[in-house]
Amino acid sequence: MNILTPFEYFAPATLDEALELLATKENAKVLAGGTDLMVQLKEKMIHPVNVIDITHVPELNEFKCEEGQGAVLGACTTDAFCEFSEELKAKFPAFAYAAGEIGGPQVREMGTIGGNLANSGPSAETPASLICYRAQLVLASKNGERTIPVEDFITGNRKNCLEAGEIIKTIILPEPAANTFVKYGYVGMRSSMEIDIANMCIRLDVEDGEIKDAMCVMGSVAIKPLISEAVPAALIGTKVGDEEAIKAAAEAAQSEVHPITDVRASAAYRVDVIGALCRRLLRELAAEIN
Amino acid sequence: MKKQIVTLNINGEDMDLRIAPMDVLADVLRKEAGLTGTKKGCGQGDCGACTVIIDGKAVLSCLTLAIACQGKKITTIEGIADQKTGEMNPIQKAFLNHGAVQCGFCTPGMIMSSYNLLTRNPQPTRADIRRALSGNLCRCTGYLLIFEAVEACAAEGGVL
Repeated sequence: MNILTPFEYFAPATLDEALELLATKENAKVLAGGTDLMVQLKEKMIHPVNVIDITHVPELNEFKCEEGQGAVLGACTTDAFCEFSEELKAKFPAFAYAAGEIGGPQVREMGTIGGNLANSGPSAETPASLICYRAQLVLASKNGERTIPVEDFITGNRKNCLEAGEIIKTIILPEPAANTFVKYGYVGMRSSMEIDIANMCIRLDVEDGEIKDAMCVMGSVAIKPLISEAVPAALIGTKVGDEEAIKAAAEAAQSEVHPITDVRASAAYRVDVIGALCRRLLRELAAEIN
Repeated sequence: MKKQIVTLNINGEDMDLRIAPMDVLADVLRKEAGLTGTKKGCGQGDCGACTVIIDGKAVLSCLTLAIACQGKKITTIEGIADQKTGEMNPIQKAFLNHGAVQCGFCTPGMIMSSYNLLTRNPQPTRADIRRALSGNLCRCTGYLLIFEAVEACAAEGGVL
């Protein structure tokens, strides 16, 4: 009945205990929900000798979202928690929406935001919106803590800057300004249990109907989330909802992506989807703002 | 890796089971606890056939390590019927009455997801039901009758 390669299982009860285990147990993998790790174990993609389940650690399950204080999420906050949190839906709607579009309902009850980030899959749902909201990660190891922006965390296809013995401890979302608007969208083969063909998140900072600053992050079109330079250039200084600017932004986004063809979509279709997503999100943002 | 005796609370009963660290809950339920109502479909977290409820959340027992379930309350398809009389839960009756079962392999998972939905949201819309069951695949293409069974159960007083 057993199809997994044997390993030892540890369920530390405190952060210190978890970091001590990570520092001392050789060939260890972190279990933070298991919706990716268990599949990788079953597929024999990884062969850990030790599995350290961090989901029981109280510090990794904390959640704070107070008025004017942004939000602080422990790494083991589940996708479903973020999907249903009224505080997050009000303050960070694009992130709550992205979390609610991961896998299916059961996957979202198990999967965690820290796990989704640490897995660093190119088609992951949460990084684009977290980058647009300027989220920071607190990384912890036995040697101490460091804080880095989410955009610097993911370095490649399933690669990130976590060092040996280090885990994501906390996701920090700064309070968004009142004139900041963010939207996330994706295209997949079906509406649930799919892996994105492409996804995108756009942030606009608006004053008197004019775009003062913008950010566009694209997922599933490169080895890591792609932060556009050309889309903000096409949008800053234009009026929200200006169709010429929207078309220019979509073409700008398309000019920057060089996706691959794989089982989910051809490269050419992905480029089309990026243009469509950009137009759709900018029109939705215009409808919300104007 | 040696098996150890681990106590799991399944359907309200503490069961001492032989478990190795890498055993997934779906296998332990079926092979050690003798509860074969929970089905293993894809074994990859894609199909939802293995759905059980742990501490009030519908999760996938094929991606859950059994050893990680110590101290938690596990409810399987066998646990939602009346434990004394054996009478089926209203959601089980609704599936039967509405012909929401074809080959039956997805049914335990469908029922556990439906049960969990009705526990949290006793009057779901069709959209709520579709979303709650979006992680459960039926390959006989019986979704419509399943949605109707859940709606009928809600209209007739729910699952509790």
